Amino acid sequence: MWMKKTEPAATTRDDLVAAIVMPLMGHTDEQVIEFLSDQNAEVDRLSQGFLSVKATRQTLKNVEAIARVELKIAKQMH
Amino acid sequence: MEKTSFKVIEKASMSLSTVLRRQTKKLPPTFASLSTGFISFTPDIVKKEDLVSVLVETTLLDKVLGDLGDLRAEERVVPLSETLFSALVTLSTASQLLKDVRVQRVQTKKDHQLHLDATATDVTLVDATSTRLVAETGKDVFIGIVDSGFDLSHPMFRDSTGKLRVEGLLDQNGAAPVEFTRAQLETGWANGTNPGKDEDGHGTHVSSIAGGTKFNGFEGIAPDARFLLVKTNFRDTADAVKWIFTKAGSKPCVINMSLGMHFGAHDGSSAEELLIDQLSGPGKIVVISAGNEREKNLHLGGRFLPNETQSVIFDVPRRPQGEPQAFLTMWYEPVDTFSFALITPTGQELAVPAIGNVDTFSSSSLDIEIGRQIYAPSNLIQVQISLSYRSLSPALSILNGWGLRMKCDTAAIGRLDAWFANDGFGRFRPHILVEPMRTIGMSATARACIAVASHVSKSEWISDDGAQQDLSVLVGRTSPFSSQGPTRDGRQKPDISAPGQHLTAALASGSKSATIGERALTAKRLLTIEGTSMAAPVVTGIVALMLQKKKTLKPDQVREILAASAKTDSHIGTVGWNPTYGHGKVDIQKAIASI
Repeated sequence: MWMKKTEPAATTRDDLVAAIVMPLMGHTDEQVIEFLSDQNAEVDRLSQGFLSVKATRQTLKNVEAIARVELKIAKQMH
Repeated sequence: MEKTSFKVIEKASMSLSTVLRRQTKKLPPTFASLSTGFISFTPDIVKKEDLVSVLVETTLLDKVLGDLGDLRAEERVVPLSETLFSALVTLSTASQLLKDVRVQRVQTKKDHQLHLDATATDVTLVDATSTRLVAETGKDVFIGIVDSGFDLSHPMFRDSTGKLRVEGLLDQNGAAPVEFTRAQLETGWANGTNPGKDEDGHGTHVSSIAGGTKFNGFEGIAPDARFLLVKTNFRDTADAVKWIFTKAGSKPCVINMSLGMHFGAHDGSSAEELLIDQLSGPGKIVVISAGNEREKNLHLGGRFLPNETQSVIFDVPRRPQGEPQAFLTMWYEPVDTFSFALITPTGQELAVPAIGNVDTFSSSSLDIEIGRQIYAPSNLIQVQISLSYRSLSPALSILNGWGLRMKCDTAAIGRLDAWFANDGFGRFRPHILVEPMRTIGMSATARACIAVASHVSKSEWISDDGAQQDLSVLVGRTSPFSSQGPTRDGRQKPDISAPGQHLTAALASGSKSATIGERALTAKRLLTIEGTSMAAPVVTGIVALMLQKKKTLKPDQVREILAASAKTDSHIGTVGWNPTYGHGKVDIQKAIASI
């Protein structure tokens, strides 16, 4: 029998997650970099408006207030 | 001219007769071949001192093999069918076989000519005499490859003096990416640490198609280009694009990505696609394979009428490694409203929650996550379903027979599309909504990239297992696997079609590919495989030639030139873009001439 939960499952893994983070309108790259760096995330600026980030899920959730977060999805060879 | 005549041995091919005569008369193989007058010289028929490679036909295969007795260590026998076996045997064993009344025929294996020129002629790089038809060779242009790794011991990565043509390599597979200079790569491949090693073989093959140095009769499209290589972890591909363009600096550069996925809206709005758009520009081009998912049943799509309900069934395949997983995303316009239910194999219905919510479910064998949100970049509604199994080998009863019910409550547009994240992450069973169109992968749906489909340029090749033929394909026709467009937002992708089936190029020594006997030609360090992965580097090489001629070409200009110069034929049909071939088959000569 399936057990339904009303809230998303709590994240217990503290692994770093790879994502591309893009500052939302009204926020600069520098602001987002500072925010992420303060939370010990690894940040590399790919281009203006695009940051390559490795951070905990909680950090990525926190930064969503000022940036769009897109997890990096593994690709397959064609 | 002195004439020599002899009788062809009964049951033996003329080549074998000649070789056996060589043994008895002590004639060199060239003379033996010439003496027959019309048998072309086949130097590899006699492998060593007295070994000959033959095919033997017999109706009593087991008995004939059993009576061969003890073979010498270097002799090999491989049954091919009930009546045919392949053998590498001494001339005395060959003679013994010919005398066996149960043997109907013994013939030498002929050296087939490598059909490497099939690709080059298909794209009008060379004429029938293998003379290049364009002056450009990729000089002063960088080719970036993002792939599985690279066998830098292969001559196709080295110039005529043996020096590496690779200016730098980034390995993304460690805890942190590691960068290697050309000098470090030379040292590493000399001392056996082999930085960037290709365990799979895919990246070596792809690279040599785009820009390999001439080797064993095969030459890449742009053999004078310089390489910038990324051995990727297949996740940080956006970082790879940035690294290559940064390394290239002010020099023209074209990047090849023969990889992709389907976790997204397929409308050019993903972060990586937007980054590719931003980093591309004058002299900076990205080429991406369309994907091999046309027949994988991983996409459904169509327009719904108000109150229309459709139900599909899907299965979750086992995976070569790791627990089975299925990731499905569905996309529709915010002016429409849909309700969905996931139906487990045991019949329990799990409703998809309202926008902004995620529900999770768990059992002893798997976890399910179902959510719905507004996807801001496209202003679409995204529904996401993930199934994560805990067991490595779950019972079929919980892998197969999942249901998905889709009801359109209100429709202004009514279009719904769904994709499993990639091949191996779920497969729909046949249904009217399951379509091959819109199976083009991401990031080939990026606006700035050149997306490449595959067509067949040859169906025969030579491998360690002998002559191979793919009877399921027709030369000139689209490859049956080649993903189709358009994008979800209706843009014309793929842009162009290039030969991708079957392409012979560099084989990475010690790689997984090298173990596949019907594909690898180990002695010549060549490999024949297919995929849009192989079609993309053909176009990448062509773009390198175009950039040599005009360093500042922009992505739109490259696309327009390729489209305007593309060939059409009876396979493609109507003139103009179509979802299978794009604007047609790539034509190097016309493309270069039009710049």
